[in-house]
Amino acid sequence: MEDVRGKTVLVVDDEPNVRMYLQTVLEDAGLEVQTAANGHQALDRMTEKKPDVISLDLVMPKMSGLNFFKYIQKNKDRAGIPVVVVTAHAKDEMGSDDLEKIEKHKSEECRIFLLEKPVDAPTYVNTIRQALELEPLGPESEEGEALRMQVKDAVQAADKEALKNALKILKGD
Amino acid sequence: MQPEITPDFHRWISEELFDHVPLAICVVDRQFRIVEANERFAKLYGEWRGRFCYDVYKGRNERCDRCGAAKTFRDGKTRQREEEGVDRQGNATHYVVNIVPVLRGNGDVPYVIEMSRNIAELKTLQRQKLEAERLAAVGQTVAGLAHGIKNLIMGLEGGMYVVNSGLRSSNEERLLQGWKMLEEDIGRISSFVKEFLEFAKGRQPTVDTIQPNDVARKVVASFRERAARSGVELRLDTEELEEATMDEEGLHACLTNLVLNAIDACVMSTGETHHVVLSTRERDGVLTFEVADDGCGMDYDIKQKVFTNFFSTKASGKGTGLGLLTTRKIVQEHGGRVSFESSEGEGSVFRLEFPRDSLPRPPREGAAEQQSKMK
Repeated sequence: MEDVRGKTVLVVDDEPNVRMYLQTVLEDAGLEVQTAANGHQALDRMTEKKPDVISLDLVMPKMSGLNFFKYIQKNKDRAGIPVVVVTAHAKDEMGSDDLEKIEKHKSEECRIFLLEKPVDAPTYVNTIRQALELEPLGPESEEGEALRMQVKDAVQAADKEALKNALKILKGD
Repeated sequence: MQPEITPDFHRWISEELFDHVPLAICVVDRQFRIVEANERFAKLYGEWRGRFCYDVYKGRNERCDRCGAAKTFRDGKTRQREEEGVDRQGNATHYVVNIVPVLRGNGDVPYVIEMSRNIAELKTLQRQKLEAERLAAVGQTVAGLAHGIKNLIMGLEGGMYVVNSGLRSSNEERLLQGWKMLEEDIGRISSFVKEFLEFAKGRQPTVDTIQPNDVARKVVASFRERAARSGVELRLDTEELEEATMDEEGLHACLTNLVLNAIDACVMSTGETHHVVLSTRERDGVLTFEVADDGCGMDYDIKQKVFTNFFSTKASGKGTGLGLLTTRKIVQEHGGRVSFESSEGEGSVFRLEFPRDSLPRPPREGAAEQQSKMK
């Protein structure tokens, strides 16, 4: 965790619990964290200290993630900060619209990473590390955690029809 | 003594028009006895000679409570009504009737002509359309449910992580924070499930004749104090309204949603004091409820998503993003529509409009009356 020393992440999310979660995960991973509940606050935090990476929610009141993003892309000094978009709306109509717009407004030097909520801690940390151009951390040593992740990945990756068929067979239909 | 229908008038209506128009027509005297009717009327309602209109149309043995013909006898005005009755086979009919006075020179109205058009099919189509819309909305909601659940899982995962992190580092403060997150998220799950089920269930609205202003009054009374605690003055501004056939519980839910949204919009705004006004009015047969606030308003992006399920700009635990969707569903069930105007930083107005013509009819009005008579 030596390599992240002094690196700062700006976590922008309107949900206090999500902010708390992401902040705790990042602090446990040795990073420094600033938090903001909307685009306006995020701009204030950036003036106080320029972050090394921004973790950005899209749907927020007052100033949305998209508007905040467009705003910082206009500023040469800030446009190069990598952005990790953390959204629950990645696959639905409104989220994919916003993501398209982000792609459209992004400056050349800006790198975008996309995470879909719910985000688990190791994935989040590794994506932030990737944004900072650092090596990913190895898998969690705790067995329970590792097994839980495996099962989760397997369920998420499973083909819906195959699952249905498997259920049918189990029921003996 | 009753005046005669003149032979010319009689010939005209019976030979030229009477039997060829696609309307069931009858002529009713001041005792509400049918004195003439066309073929179509006889075909639909059977033998009418010597019978009273309320008997023929509805199988009643006394005049209807709000009899349109009686009003036309009194004021000599033409009127249109939507009515339900029973045909000769005992099937329910749904018809629009135009009641036209036969005026004498001195202003007396010896007869009224009733021309009715069957709209049962139209009504069935309307009901099918509403049901299809409801199913479509539920379908969208189920699709969106996955993503509502993602947010909840994110919350639970977060709470668990923070609790574990607190335990690992023996940090009691962090542990308590994590526990608080978990508690909040469990609360959210309960309200989420409740609201979702409320939205998804195919509830039959309980339609009754109600005074719309009473519902508005109740909603304002329930939330005035809560608004005041948030620095918001909640006011009621009603115009005198006639009774309407509506689902009281549904209307109450709609107005509650709009008022709570307006209060939240004020709380999210920066200004010092705020106002929310619930007003009612009626113009050209359209009942209108309006909830106006001078809160935070909405920008273009948010306006696009107002009726999107599970979209909420509210802080943690406050919004499931189903309120306006549920509101729209209930308003549509009443044949009405929801609209809004909003400017960022200035406030919003949400408007519910109910054309009286499209309001649902109380189910089996006659049956209820007959039941109460039997008691």
